[in-house]
Amino acid sequence: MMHVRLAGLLLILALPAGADEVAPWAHAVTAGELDSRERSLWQEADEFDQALARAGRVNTDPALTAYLQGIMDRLYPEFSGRLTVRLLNAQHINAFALPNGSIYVNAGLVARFQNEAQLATVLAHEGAHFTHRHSLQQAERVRNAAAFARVAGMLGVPLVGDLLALSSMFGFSREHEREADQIGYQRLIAAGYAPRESVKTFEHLQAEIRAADIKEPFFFSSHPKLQERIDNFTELSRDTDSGETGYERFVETTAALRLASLERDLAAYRYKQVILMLTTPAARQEYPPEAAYYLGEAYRLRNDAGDAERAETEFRRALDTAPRFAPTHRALGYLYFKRGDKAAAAERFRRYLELAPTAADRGYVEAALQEIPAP
Amino acid sequence: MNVRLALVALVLLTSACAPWSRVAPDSRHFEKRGDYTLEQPAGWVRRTADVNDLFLTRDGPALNTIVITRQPHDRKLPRTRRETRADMLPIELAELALAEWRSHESTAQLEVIENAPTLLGGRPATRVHIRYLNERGLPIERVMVACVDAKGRLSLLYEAPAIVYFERNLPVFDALLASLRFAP
Repeated sequence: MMHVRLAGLLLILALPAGADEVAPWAHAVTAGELDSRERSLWQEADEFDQALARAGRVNTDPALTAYLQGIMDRLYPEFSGRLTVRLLNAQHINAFALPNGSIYVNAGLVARFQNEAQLATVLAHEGAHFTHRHSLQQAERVRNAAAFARVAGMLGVPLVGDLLALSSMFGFSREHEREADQIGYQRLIAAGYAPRESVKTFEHLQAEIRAADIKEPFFFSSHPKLQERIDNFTELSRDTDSGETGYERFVETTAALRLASLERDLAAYRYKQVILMLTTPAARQEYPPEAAYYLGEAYRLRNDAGDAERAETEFRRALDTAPRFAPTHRALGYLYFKRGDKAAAAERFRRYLELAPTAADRGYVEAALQEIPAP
Repeated sequence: MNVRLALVALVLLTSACAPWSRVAPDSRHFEKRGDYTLEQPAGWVRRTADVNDLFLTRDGPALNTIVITRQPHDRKLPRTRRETRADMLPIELAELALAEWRSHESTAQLEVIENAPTLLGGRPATRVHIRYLNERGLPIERVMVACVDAKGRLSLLYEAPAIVYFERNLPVFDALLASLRFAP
């Protein structure tokens, strides 16, 4: 029943904009130039910005923030100073635009890409939601939907007064998403990026969704089907071979973020994403030699048939190519320890403690060593 | 009609079990038959109907809680969807607990303060101490001591705002941990 009601609400949200359509911004505006309803939306967005910052969700790395902002300013030069990109410390593949020009992109999404043009595809798309004032149009629909929900008593939660939250819950309409795709694509070309990379953006995300068995990622909750977008962008970029990928810049600037992203994925048992990334040759080559350790850890956590052997192979590879990378020694130590090869385990554990004498998990390793009889 | 409704509500309220009961100095002993015993902190209040073995607070759930949970291995953890095993090493249990917490949307900037082996009732266990920001940006600290055995997994968790409250009642939690005895 709830699903039927939600379907009704979503149907309203998906209705064409019609009379609600508003002209896109031609230049950066200030809050003082807005009418009261749009100013109210901006204020809600400002408060949301502050709440995210207070909750420690925003990554404040100056180099990364400047890099993302530089891409956005290149895509939308006339909105420089109004379109503000922030990196969120979150791993899920997501990006979103607020009515006041704040664009958020999750660190986990950035780490999935291989070059700047792919990242720019997402930023160009989100920027278009702002320049074409989709939030304002969406707010009108949400108001109607909220009134409908209130009358029907559908959701059982108060909705009016929290339009931003409801907009965020349901995302933009498919019509808006298609428009943002089109505008974003035009911006990508105008900024000199390689348009063919836009196809790869969606291909990467489709691969991730399949690999991780993600049901409905937020970024795509009301977007056109991924395959439809891949087909559309393939068609659009059919005869375009030119443009910059921004490969070196992206790889250099995001190196630490991508490595940290592997660690965060593993720390939250998102091993499927790590396996996907590190078994894709084009992606793997952008990681340092110790990436083999992370892939080994991902196999260990997955623990399917044959994964212990795969993990050992990767740990040994890491040991060969980055012998002073301490975690590999610990990982091999535990692998041997659980297998009953205590002598080999002790050797790895001792090397681990030599290389990482202040390791936070030293106590566990020492406890394991105590269980191993002296030779 | 309204008077009748009020009377019915009054009868229901007065006849229902109180949801909380204070732990009196002479009723601190808690026994989970055939499993373990421990001493609850006097002056704390216990939620009488709870899915956990024990849910205790001194100043209200937002300010301090002690939660003791016993679950079978095959009950999947809610976020990682993983099960536990009786042969898990303490470090693997700690790794799994941290993965659960890191997968929770309301724990930002999670920082591990301590992650070390310990003993719980004489059995190998793990002690993990973290600090994170909740949805409102308030720093929260949490200590979990947990172990696995043939029955399943047992976790004892203490959580409070980092400012003032956490340090104040940490000794109470440690005393509760020290009082735990497994049934022979």
